[in-house]
Amino acid sequence: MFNKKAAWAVWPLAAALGLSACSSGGGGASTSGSSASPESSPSASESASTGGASAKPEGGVTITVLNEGAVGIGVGKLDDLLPEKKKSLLKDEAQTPRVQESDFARTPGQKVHPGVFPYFYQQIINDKLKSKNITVKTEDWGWGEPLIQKETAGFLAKNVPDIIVGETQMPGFALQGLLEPFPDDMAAEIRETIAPAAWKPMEVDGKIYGFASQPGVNSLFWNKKLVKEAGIDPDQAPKTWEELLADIEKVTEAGKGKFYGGGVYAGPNAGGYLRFGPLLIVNHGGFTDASGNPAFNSDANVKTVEFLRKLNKNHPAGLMVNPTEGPYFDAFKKQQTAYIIDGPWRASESASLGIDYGMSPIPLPEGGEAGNITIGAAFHAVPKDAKNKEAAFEYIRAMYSDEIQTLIADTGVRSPVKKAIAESQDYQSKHPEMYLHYQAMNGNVQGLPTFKKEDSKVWQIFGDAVAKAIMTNGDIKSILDDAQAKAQAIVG
Amino acid sequence: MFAKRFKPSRALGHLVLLGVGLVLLYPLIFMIMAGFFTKQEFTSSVIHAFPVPKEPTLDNFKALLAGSTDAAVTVYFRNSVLRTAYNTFWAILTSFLGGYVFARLRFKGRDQLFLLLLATQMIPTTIAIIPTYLEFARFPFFGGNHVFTGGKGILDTWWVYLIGGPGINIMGTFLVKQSLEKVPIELDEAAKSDGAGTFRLLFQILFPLQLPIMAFIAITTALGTWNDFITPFFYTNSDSLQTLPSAITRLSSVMASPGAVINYPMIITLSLGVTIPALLIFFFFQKYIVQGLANTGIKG
Repeated sequence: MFNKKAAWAVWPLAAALGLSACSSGGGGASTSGSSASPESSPSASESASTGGASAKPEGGVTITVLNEGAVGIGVGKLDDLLPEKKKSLLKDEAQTPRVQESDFARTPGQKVHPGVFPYFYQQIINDKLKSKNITVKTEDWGWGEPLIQKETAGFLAKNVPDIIVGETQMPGFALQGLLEPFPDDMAAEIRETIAPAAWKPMEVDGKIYGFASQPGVNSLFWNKKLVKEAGIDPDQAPKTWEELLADIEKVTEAGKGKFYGGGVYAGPNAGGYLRFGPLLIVNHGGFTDASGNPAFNSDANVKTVEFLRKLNKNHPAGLMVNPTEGPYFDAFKKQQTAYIIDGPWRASESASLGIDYGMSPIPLPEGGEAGNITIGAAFHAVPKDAKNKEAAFEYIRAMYSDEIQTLIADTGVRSPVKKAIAESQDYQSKHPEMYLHYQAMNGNVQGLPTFKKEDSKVWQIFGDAVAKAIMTNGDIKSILDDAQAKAQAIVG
Repeated sequence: MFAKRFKPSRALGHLVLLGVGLVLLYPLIFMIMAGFFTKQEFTSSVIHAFPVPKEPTLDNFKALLAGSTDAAVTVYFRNSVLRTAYNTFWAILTSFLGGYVFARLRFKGRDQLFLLLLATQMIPTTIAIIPTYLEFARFPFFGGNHVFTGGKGILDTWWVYLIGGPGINIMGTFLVKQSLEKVPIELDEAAKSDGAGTFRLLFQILFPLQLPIMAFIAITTALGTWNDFITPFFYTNSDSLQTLPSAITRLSSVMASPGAVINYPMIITLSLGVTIPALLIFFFFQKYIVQGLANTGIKG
């Protein structure tokens, strides 16, 4: 029987049900969340001025820009963040060497403390944009998978910052028509003055949709100490696949299970594709054909995977195709492997860890040609739904300004992309290794392609096939044929 | 005497339990030890099962307690506590009222409605992220919205937590319903014949009988909310709205961006800061969890 006196109990239930529609659904206690501090709750009108949408202050414009780790200094307006960042850098005991007040007095052309690089980077951007009456407010949406999910949600809700950032997902966003093409004059200037690695992977149908101020390409790095222990000249870079394999095998033999030759990470994920991908390219293979369809089982790819299988024998079991990439790099950092193909940051990181390292272009197979894949490229782009597109493009113009590019050159962790700076005699003499890296950013440099349908599924098919081919003694050709058939069935 | 009490099977049982206990404690021990490492040493040396730093540092623990950017960690901690308290309060209230409605009241469609509620538990949280984001972004009359166009709704405001967070605790409702069904209806009738109104019946007669199960709901909700990073990470952007878990997620994902060197000892130490309060809650209130579940008839 319905108890009428108790009917009021239904109302809180109904209210709660209504509210539950707004919660993250189905997760119950573990995902629903709430907290409130009434006195600190902003009013709706106040809160409207924060977040993804931009607001126009008096006589100017405020743009919202997503942070990326290499240059991020916090969340908020750059004007407010810069003094705070300076204070925290001076206090930061983890900086080696410690940051001094004198590190903030910079003369272009002089070495920059890597810890202060993000401060200078944002200071230059802030000064340049302020002169155009543009205020920059940064937001932090993370990186990798969480960032992709949040950006996807933002696009659907048409609630995106004026500049978004990302790596492998960005060409896909461009293909889907979610990004604004660069203005023609800007695109022409970039094509003429900037190395292709900074923009080529973001070029779709002749238009440029994104720019990275300090992208990377892969190089070969080696631990000179381990190489020397194997009786190899540590200053001599292997130039061919045969030389590289021979050196790697010698190191493995000398290591006697304590350290290994290593080579390249080939796990079934973007980290793997970005690193072993260049080996496919230099051997005239790749991921797709000229029309963008999967081309996994070419003879060149079979030959490259054969080479990868040989490299695998020079790693601790399972390391080379470990689904998580971190342990692979840890092994190099902990001096358990001698050779690694990776982005340019490996140089500065090795130096900071006290590893005496060598660096050279990726060795070539017989008949191979130099080529590469951009890695660690934080592409910045302006979404179609951005509120302040013109101001956002000004931000990107600042990213390839002489000031920013000189700063990158002076820091020496990455190479600049502006030809006038990177090709100067001064840069070549001061940073010979980074100049080699710059050279590798020119020519046949590609990004990871985006497949026409079910992109992540097709990638997984390829990644799993390569891992299987490396880990087993199965026929490589038939493993790749199988992957090709599955991918074609999806893409059509 | 001892020989009489000593049973090999009992000793073996204790030995197994001790072993399992150590296995379960191991991650915590590892986290504490890792917190004493510098980023440099943790990155460059081989980490053994029980890592002992050559040059121990307290920097990571200092950052946990004082915050690397002064007030930041204090804000995250405050937000975590407020969220947890608010959510727990709502979970208790909605579970109790919802459980009462489904256990005691009879109305058309009651069982169907209850099944519908239970069915929502089958939807994985990750699948709901984008729809929820859209729901918040389209929230009418907030953030410049006009129902279906423009604006940002309640995203990146306290309203995400205030009205978007708590909802109804369905598992709690289910547990209270199960538990209340075991309480004889005669108790309600006796209370009413003595002149008790519905409010008094609910909160003076029935609620005290449900304390173990309410404690269970409070503990699980508090733990879940304390550890929840999805809500703050996806639906808010401002630093002032972040909680400890979302701040750690941000820190670790930004550190994973190109060329950034991951400060594992710092992340592990901050994670320790999230884990320990949850462990303490569990440690002191675990008997209520068992008792609460026993009352619902779920435990055999």
